[in-house]
Amino acid sequence: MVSAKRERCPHCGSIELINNIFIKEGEPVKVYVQCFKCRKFVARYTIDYYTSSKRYEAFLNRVSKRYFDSGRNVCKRVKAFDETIEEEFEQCKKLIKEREEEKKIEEIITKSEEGK
Amino acid sequence: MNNRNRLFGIIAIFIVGIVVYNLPIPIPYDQKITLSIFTIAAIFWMTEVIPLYATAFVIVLLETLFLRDYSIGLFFHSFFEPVILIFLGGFVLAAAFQKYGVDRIVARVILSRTPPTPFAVLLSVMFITAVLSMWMSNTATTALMIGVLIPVLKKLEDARFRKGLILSIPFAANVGGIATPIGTPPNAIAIGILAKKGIDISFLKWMELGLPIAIFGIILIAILLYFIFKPTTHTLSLPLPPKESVDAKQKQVIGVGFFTILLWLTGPLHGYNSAVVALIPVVLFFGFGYLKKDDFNDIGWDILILVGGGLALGTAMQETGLSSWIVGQIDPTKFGVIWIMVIFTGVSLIFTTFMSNSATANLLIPLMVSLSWHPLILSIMVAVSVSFAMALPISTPPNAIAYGSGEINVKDMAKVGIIIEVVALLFMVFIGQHLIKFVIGGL
Repeated sequence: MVSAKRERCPHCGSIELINNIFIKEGEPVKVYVQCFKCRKFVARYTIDYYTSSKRYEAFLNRVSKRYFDSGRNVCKRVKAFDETIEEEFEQCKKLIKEREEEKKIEEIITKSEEGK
Repeated sequence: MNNRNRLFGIIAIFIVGIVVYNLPIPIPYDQKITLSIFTIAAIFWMTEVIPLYATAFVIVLLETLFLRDYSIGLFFHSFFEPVILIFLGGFVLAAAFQKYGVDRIVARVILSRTPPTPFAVLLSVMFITAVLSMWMSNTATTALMIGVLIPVLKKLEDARFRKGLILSIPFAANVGGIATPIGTPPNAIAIGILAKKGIDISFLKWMELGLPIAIFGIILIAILLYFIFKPTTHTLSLPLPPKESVDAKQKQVIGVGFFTILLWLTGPLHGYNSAVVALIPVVLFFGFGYLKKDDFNDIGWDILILVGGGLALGTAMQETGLSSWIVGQIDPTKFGVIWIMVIFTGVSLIFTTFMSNSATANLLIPLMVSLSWHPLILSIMVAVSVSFAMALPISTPPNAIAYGSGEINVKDMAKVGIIIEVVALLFMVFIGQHLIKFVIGGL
């Protein structure tokens, strides 16, 4: 099943949010989400993978940490990397517009972590 | 490929294996089983129905299930051979170099001394890529160097030379790997299988052979790329990666790296095996917290397993006498030595243009070591030749990464790649064999 949800400030309900990136040596990068309107803390995300709009550069960063022995396998990854992000982004926007997920974000994330 | 197709593929491959076992060939049971395992492994590696490293487990599982007259340790030991440890040491060094930015320091130092002409930039980029890929994975080196070049490529209006520059990186990474035993898995496979035959090639000996071949490859490719993608501009400068002061940890990592490489190169003086030396960076970097558990998990274990699987297959082929039987079917007097070399080098290049270099080496080198004529020369020729196969994006992971940039098409890659393969074949047959004879011996 596929669903999507827009993050909101739990205090004022705003969807205008700021991403504050926290970097500490030896630890994964964390993003502290802050409400643009009421300036309160909304959530913290710990980054595992990151892909910017400069997708090829993000791909280079990701493959630089891994070992590959099959050119065919890397070709598949290049293709998947190029296609899935744009497609998923469009699908995500469409889903939010049509029927937003009702579960709370913490429930969704806990469930997804259990499924790993 | 979905799971259903994969399952059908796996079943079909095992059926081929059973058919091969039942062929009316006059060889004993052990050899028939090994021939069947060899066939199954070859098709798995060619089709990649399952991951390359998973095939390594299939090999050892089938060997221990069906070759019950042999001790299981004989096959399991392949996964902890000295050459696997040398490779592990290389992976750990590379992980530390990457984590502490030593690779970027090397790139900066060389780039800052590059004259601002297109040929100098091309040669310099290839030189740095090759030097890094001697010690790091070809994939990581390619990703780093393309990342360094992206700002230049964005500004460079000469679309033709832009292609040449992009192509120079994967090609240099492929060839640079030839220079050291840890540069690329086929080198380790050749060293490991030859060692099982009682032929030891030290780290230094391999470099004496691999380095001149890599230098020849770099110069050849630089000239080819320059003339095929001739620049329209006379000046070209590279923006340097940001200057960083070298901190204490980086100095310590560089120190351990130098010390390890020095010990590898001076093996004949101190008498310690390169595998023992390879444990030094492993112990120091993990023991003193320079590398953490996440770094440990990121080590290319799949590559080590793949090499181990190749060694296990080679062990079975040698122990059962299958490889001797196969090569016994070829009569060298019919062809002459030169033609035999052309055929095997050519087969290696063609195979590895379409499939993994390591898988090709895993299949062909066990056969080469059993030849009655020039087994050492032919084994090394195959190991080196596979690194010269780079005509398609699927030929090597560095090629695939460069292709992913969208700056080059298959035709651009094939145009240069095919010339490189033909020249490499001629070079290996007419010069390489003499170089191997001169450096390592004439066996």
